Amino acid sequence: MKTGQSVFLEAKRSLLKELISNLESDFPYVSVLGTDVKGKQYNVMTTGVKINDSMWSERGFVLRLHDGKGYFEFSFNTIEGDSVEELYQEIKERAMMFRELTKSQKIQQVSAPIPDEKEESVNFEDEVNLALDHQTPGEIIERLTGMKNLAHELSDEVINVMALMENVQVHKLFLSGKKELCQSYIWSQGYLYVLARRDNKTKYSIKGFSGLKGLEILDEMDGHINELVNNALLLLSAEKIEPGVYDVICSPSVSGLIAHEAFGHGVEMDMFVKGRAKAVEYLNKPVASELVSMHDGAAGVREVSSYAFDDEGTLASDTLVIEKGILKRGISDICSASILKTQPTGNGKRESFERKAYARMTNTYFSPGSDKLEDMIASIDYGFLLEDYYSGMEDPKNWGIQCLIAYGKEIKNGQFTGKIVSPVMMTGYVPSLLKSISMVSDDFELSGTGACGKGHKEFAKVSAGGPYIKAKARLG
Amino acid sequence: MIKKIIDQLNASGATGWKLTETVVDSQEYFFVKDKMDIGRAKKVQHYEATVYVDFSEGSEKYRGSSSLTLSPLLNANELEEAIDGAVFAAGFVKNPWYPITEAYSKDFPFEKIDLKKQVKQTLAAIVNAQSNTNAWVNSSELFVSEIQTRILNSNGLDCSFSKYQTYLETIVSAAGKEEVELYDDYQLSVPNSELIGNRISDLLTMVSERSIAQATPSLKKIPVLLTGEPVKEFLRYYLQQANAQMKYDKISEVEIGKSVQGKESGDSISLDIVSQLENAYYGAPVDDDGFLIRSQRIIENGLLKNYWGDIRYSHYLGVEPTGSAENFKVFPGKASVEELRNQPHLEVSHFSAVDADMTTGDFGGEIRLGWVADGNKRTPVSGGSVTGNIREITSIKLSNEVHLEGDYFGPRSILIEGFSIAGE
Repeated sequence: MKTGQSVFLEAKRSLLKELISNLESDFPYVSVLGTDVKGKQYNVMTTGVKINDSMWSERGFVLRLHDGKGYFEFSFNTIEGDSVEELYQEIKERAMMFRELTKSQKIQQVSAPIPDEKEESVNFEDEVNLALDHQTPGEIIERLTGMKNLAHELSDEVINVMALMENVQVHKLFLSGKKELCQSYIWSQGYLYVLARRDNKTKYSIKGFSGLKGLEILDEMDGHINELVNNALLLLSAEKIEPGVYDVICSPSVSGLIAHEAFGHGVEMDMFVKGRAKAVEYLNKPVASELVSMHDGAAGVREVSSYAFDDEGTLASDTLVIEKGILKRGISDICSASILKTQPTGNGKRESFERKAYARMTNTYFSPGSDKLEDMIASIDYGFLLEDYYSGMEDPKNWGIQCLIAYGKEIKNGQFTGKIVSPVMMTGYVPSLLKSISMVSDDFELSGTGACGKGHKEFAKVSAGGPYIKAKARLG
Repeated sequence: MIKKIIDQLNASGATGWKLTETVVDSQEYFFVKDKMDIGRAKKVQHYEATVYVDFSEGSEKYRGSSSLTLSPLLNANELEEAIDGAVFAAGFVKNPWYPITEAYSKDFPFEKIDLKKQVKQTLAAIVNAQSNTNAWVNSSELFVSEIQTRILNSNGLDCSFSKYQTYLETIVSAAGKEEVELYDDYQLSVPNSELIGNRISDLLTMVSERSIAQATPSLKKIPVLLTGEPVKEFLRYYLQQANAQMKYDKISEVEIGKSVQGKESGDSISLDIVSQLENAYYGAPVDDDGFLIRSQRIIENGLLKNYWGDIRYSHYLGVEPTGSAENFKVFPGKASVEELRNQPHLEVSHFSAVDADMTTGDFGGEIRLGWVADGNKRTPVSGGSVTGNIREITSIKLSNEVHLEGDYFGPRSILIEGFSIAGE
């Protein structure tokens, strides 16, 4: 089923073109991004039910102009009547006030060249298997309630359960003097969360589901409750890990976290412009084992951050960041690419029309290798298989790692002992970790639940993943 | 737009409704070192509505609800469709009945400031903070917003208030054996150039320390002294345990009159929720339901005195609602920070991120900047991690120096025993 284009954005297209045309008489570059995003979130917990619009829902515009010295942007979500005259005057006035303020404070401008765009036209509509109205809200709540009830039936130690599904329909329109791009796609995500308690110990297990999907994501969620309940009960008997350096096997979700947090943030090229990226010193040098190749791109794979063009009107691409252990290139937005004199890679993303575009990751992953998971487990004398994660944090300048991993399964003499450690904090130095990778499995999984921040804000949808990898890591 | 929405809500067949209008006007400045990278401005309106649908089964009363985001750019048909759709969906939401805020009408006073002047002074403070021995401001982002909020409901509630919010993200760097950096976000109500200048100056001093830091050594279980932002996240755990929704959702197990702390020795925690803190980023006279927030003692000498929370979850617990406050205050301890430092310890001011799990009590983070002290010598360190569980700490001591950090006012430092330290 086709996802359909936005009637609202189509209705505003001519007005926006008029606004651009008016402003082009004052400024050498003008573009507008229009967004029309609708989403619903269905949440069934043991203690209550919620149906809300998705937090990603929005409708509005961001106008970007270059005044010959630098960029200025204005975000808005009202247009009075059928005239853009008032808006034109306001934007012009705001841009001039900004320039006067910086001038009065003697603040110099970063020299960013005026964009040199090519003529481009895109009209992209994605498809999903099941439309968002394939089931009524009542039917959706009933299915999620079934998952919740099953968890309680499986164990009395389960004290709360959440089954959540969210569907978001994204429409975007990008217009400039030379570009006319529109796209439409749907992404969905789901969570199953099981909270268990024994004596005074409380633990939870959580599993995410995601993709460029419609209501078919509910079918994927079905059938995982047993696994979630078992994991939660297993965590109740988890022990603390003795801090140290261990042989580890990272599951695809943990591999993805490493690709994303440990390396991905460090190759966002606005960090190159700011002198915040250690990666600059390592371009065309080894940063990982020869077994490691890493990609980022909105093209090439289908996950929640796959699209036809980014929020600056650059077409999506697939960037090979690490090739056989050698750092080849970074990912960029338009501004950083123009300053660094490189090509933008389609990674200019905004949290919403109200926020600035930055160089951001899309779908970031290690390529699969040729090893078998069972051989990797058998190769470990003493170590852990690390599964799932709670959070991670980047350190682009100093390449430190912080990954908070949900649990580790102890391995002795190539076999699981049944002992679980939780939680596990993985820290260390990125190249040391990546260079220690000695085996890479032939599996491949991507996951795109949650959101990624830049620093502690600017949340955007991304996905990450890859194969199982064997490495040496400091755990605590 | 607001009248059109209210008319549609009244015509929708919902038992009741709540509507929040937010108007935001902001200016944003993005610096790379002392140069302007990009300027931005924003003028937006947001409408968030909740529709309520009541029904009964036997003698049990239920209240279904559904919340929706309404753009001012919706046309009449879209508005009708969105609200009718939400009312239809709310009919499938079977939650125990709860009240919504009673009628009152109030426009809370707001002290306007000369924002243009304050922004100018703040920009000057950022630019002038650029040089300091071997440390510098790598980049910064300043967001200054004026926000007007109006909350109405079908009971006749109509209240409005305004506030300023200032957010400064600063990255500072320093040269050393290799260049290092520290990240900071600073949240205030109005842009205060003196406070911002001092904050950046402190950051420059700290990043200089990181530039000479050694790798965190492998340490036995010596006490950990948390200073600055990590203190807030550690103490937030106790705040959250007392939250009505956390209790109702069975995540928290704390009971009125019983201890919220474990078996640790040292200081007992006393904690208040407060509607507003002077010049704090967060805070409003009312919560999202328009309910007047009562500042109130929540924890006293380590014992839970009151749950705190919104009208719905307080009703479920059968306690008086306090309103869902955005700020909290923790009472200081007896020892000065210097006194807390009078024993071998690891002090940490900056983690990569502080992970404090409100469900399990697990706490941890990778050390970006800390100091190992043996009582005489204090050596800056970086790397490694601190982990542990807040429920299993063996001792806690709060400093008598206090500070404002985002939504928190309270001790600047806390000394904790019972955490593990992973180092080289």
